[in-house]
Amino acid sequence: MTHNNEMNSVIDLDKLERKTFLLYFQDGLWDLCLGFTWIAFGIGTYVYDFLPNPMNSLLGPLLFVIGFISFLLGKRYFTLTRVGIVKLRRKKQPRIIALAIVTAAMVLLTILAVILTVTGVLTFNGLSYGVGIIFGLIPIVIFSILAYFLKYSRIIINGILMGIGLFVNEQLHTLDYRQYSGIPLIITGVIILGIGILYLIFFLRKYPINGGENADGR
Amino acid sequence: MVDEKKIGESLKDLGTIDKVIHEPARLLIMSYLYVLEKADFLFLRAETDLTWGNLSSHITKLENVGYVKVEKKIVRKKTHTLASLTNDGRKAFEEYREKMKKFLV
Repeated sequence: MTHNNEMNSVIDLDKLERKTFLLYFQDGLWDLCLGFTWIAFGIGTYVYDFLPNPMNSLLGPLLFVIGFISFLLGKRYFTLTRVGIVKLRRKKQPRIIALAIVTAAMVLLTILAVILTVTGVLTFNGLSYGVGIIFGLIPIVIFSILAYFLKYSRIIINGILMGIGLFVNEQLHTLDYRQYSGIPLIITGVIILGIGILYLIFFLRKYPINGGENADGR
Repeated sequence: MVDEKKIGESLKDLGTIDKVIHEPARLLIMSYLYVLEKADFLFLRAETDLTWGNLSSHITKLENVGYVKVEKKIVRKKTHTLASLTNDGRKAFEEYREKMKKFLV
């Protein structure tokens, strides 16, 4: 919003605060990182049977680490140099702490569900779609909770895409198409990556790099 | 029927409006700094759509009346300026808000 537009309407302080809070999600890097992670795990799953041990187990996590480091570097050298640095007021901290607790709990539950399923403790006898549905719902639930706490509904799309990817992937196992395993993750990862690229383009247009002599032009 | 006496009193009170904050660009800067703990010049420039010169001039005015505190740091050989509201600035902004609500009901 331009300065003039902002001044022509009422200055809503809550909206300003929310807008600032969400500013760091608008660069598309979050979607790019998520999409890349999903592709990495898809590739890791797809090539699992072809690669020698332990390379087959390490490829996915290795790609993920590369993607995550790129994300952190991107935030540091790409976003901050365009958007600047903002420190939110402390009164928002309880919301962020609640968000961190809920996210951590959901991630732990997901890991637990995977371990219990892999070890056979959690079985779905007679319910062929059960595992797929549960795996598919996990990212949808996590991203819905994130969207609720962040008041940022767009990220539910990522959760839905990841959920679809996991569900279809699991069905390939159930229906004995194991050789295609990982492809649904790669496809959904590419879609998420595409969303990230679009947001990145919008971001680059809105926040061109500062050409001033100083970091802040002063 | 319009209460002329009341309107007259309100108009007199209009003179007590803080003119430093009342200027649109400074009001926007103050609004951002009110909802944040601190923000750098890069952020304020992007969000207010002001030029570097205008932003610097408005911040200096706010700094001179004691509403804004400016911290300068050198980051990778470049000056990095962070602005935040002082307690006086926060109080002045709240008073301004209350007065404006009263006048524009």
